[in-house]
Amino acid sequence: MTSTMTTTKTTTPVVQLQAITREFAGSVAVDSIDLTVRRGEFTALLGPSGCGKTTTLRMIAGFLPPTSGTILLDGQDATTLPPERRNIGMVFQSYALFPHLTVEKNVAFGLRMRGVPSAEIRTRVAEVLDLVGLAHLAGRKPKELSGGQQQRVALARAVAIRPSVLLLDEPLSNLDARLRVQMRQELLRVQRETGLTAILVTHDQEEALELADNMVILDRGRIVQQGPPREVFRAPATRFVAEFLGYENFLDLPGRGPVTIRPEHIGVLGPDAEPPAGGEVVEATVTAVRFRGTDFAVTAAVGDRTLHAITTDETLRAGASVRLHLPLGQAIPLPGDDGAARLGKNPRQECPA
Amino acid sequence: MSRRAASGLLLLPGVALLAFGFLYPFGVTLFAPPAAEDPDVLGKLGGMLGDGYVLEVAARTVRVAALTTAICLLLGFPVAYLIARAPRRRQGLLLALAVFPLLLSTVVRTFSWLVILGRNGLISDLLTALGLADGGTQLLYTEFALIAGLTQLFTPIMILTSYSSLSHIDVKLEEAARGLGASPGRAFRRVVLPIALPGVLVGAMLVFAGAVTAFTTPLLLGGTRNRTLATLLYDYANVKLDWGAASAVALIMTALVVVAGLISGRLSKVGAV
Amino acid sequence: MRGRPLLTAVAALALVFLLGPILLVVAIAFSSGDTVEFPPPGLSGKWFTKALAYQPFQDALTTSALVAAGATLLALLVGIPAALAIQRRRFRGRKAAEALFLSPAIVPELVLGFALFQQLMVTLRITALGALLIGHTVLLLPYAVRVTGASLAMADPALEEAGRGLGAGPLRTFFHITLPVMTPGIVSAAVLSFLTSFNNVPLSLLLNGPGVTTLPVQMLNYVEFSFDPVVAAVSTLLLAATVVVALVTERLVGFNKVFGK
Repeated sequence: MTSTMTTTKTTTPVVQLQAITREFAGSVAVDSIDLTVRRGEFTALLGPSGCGKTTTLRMIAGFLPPTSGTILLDGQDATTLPPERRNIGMVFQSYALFPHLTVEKNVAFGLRMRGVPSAEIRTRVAEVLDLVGLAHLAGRKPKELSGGQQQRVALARAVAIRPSVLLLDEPLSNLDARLRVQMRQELLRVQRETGLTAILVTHDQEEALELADNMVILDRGRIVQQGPPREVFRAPATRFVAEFLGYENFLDLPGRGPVTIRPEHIGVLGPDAEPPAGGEVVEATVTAVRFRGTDFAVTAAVGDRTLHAITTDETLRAGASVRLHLPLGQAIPLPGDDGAARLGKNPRQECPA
Repeated sequence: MSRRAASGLLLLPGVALLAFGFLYPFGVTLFAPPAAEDPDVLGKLGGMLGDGYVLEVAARTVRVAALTTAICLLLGFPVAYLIARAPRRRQGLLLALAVFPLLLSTVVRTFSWLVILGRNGLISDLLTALGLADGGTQLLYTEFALIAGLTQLFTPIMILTSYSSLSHIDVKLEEAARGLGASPGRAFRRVVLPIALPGVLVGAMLVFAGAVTAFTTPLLLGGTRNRTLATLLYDYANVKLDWGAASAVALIMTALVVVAGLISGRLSKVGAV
Repeated sequence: MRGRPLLTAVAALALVFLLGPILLVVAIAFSSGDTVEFPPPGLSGKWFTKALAYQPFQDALTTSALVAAGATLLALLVGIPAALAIQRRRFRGRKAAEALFLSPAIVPELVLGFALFQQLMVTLRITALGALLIGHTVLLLPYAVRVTGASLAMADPALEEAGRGLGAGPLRTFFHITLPVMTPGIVSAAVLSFLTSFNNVPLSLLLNGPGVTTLPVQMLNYVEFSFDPVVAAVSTLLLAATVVVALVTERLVGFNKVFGK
């Protein structure tokens, strides 16, 4: 089932979106997006609900026509092509397994529609079910499977047709937390083994960080930043991106503009502790301490500002006065921002799909 | 083909059927029956409303329907409540038993009342045996017979609508109320009843509309002495052949049902909030 | 039910009241007496023999079965596309279309029968059988649209998209996915429609013609002139047939689905 990519085709991007816009009843859900997805790459579209990521995916699949712009699949204009002629493999958030068909028939469906000879269908279905570890459940109906198993069937069904691109719409969001983490690796393994190009839509930054080769962050219908997850995480361009990736401390430094500091870099100093060299020390009042297993997350007020830090000091209680050490050398600049917090302050528009 | 055209095409056969087999005949018959000698239905209606007999029949129809609705509610709601609170796997069977009569012909279901209520019927024999009457007690062709027959006909509908309303209410709500110090009775009155009420009232309106328009039961159990609007309409239409009068009665019946429908629509909106 | 003696008593009374009279009819049907009496003096099957041999009932049964089957088929053929449009498509006037398709259910059946009798049979001179078929189809259409629509409303709309994505065009998606998903709803609607049509009296009574009388109407005619256990025997046979239909429905889709439960 491992298909090595052919070098001749590597140059053509699998998916290209050119100035794609989608409006719903006057409100703009996707605002002139340009996106290139290269062969074999795992792309994650990440953003809060209503940011346009699902709308974008549905336009790539052909379920929703763009208001304007061009969609190229394998270099061909596919903007008005109906979904059944796009050769896409989609995994839906609800899985959308056909309830009247067995696991085997579900997986075979796409091949039957393509007129693949039945002998070949049998071997390919067996291969794919093997790949997701469900060969023993081939005769079951979807409702007789657990959520995780249904998820695998949905994945197998999409992979079976050897699509030019695998579209994953929040595929893990209906699983419980533990299973979700397991299935991430499973998803990655299947994508690597098949060599398929994949686009994942998710609102879970951990999922995107773990899976993506290219992480695309959307906000209100626009791409705000994209790149390899490590790069984006190390250098978020704006406060929105930083907050979305879990950063909590935001400062406006004179001469340097808006920056963020990771909580684990902020030192909580005991009464007689000597502050490390460099950086700045501020007086703060602890407002909350949360036990996290190996350490404690401390929330402290500095004037009218709130800072977050990590400590192993077990004696710290809410109300205590402490000194915090801010290593400004480790502060990450947010160059694309004017310093105004956007997350949570602006009502986010909801797009209807 | 545009999406709008596709939707239109899917609806077209049904719309055509309804236009020809429903809207057209219904509209013409109610408001301008050409086949009637006197096509002025509204004039006829005015005359009939001045006539004491039609008013008496209309009043009886509403009275019988209202009493039927009340009794259906008293019998049906407790059954629905017990079914909704029975163990899950038994609910299906109990509900099926309660609503099965809905699948039977009204003729079948009304026939037994002829046996029970007639001059040589069960109740008459029972009264005679007890020495309370000396044979031949006739309960048929009375309002009592009408109400008995209609109640038996419509209680399953009341059970069905009450059940669907009650089955959406989590048992834990009652348990929560009990935990907060309410007695079972109070928990029921203060928590279950208010939540179930809109759905139950929608069911009551269904029963009322059904009882107003029921035909077979009044024909067999009410006879000519206790006519309802439905049997009166049939009499004008098929026996007296006074089609203008039949249209007028049809108009009254339709108005009653539409009013019940509007009230029910209101109630279900209240319930949805 | 512990602690609720009053409630339980009322419920028991209600069940006796609902089912008792039906069982009474069965008992009378097996009577060996010459008149309707309870308790019957003895048991016999003679009323069944008489009922089955009675020609007008045989003819009426044929008419009823034909009309019920025809109207059910027509109502489904017309109602399923309408349910698809109402449940799966967004267009202006969707709510109005839904209200239109459900409206025959709120109109008194007798009034509809009278209207169809006047306009279709008297004015347009359509035959009784034709008028019966049209009238019953109109009567069943709300059930067909509502019950098949409910099965669509419960299904994940992404199913059809999944079909398209896997390479099935709109038609193949309909036949391979939408229709099978709707099947329980279609079966429920068919059972409910057939029985509703078969049992109907008001429409059938007004839309009769020479040789075109349905079974319930024929039973009604019979009761008006002679009061003997023949009708009880027919009722018992209908009851038995209905029980069979209910059991088969239970096996196929779950009995209570017929009522949308």
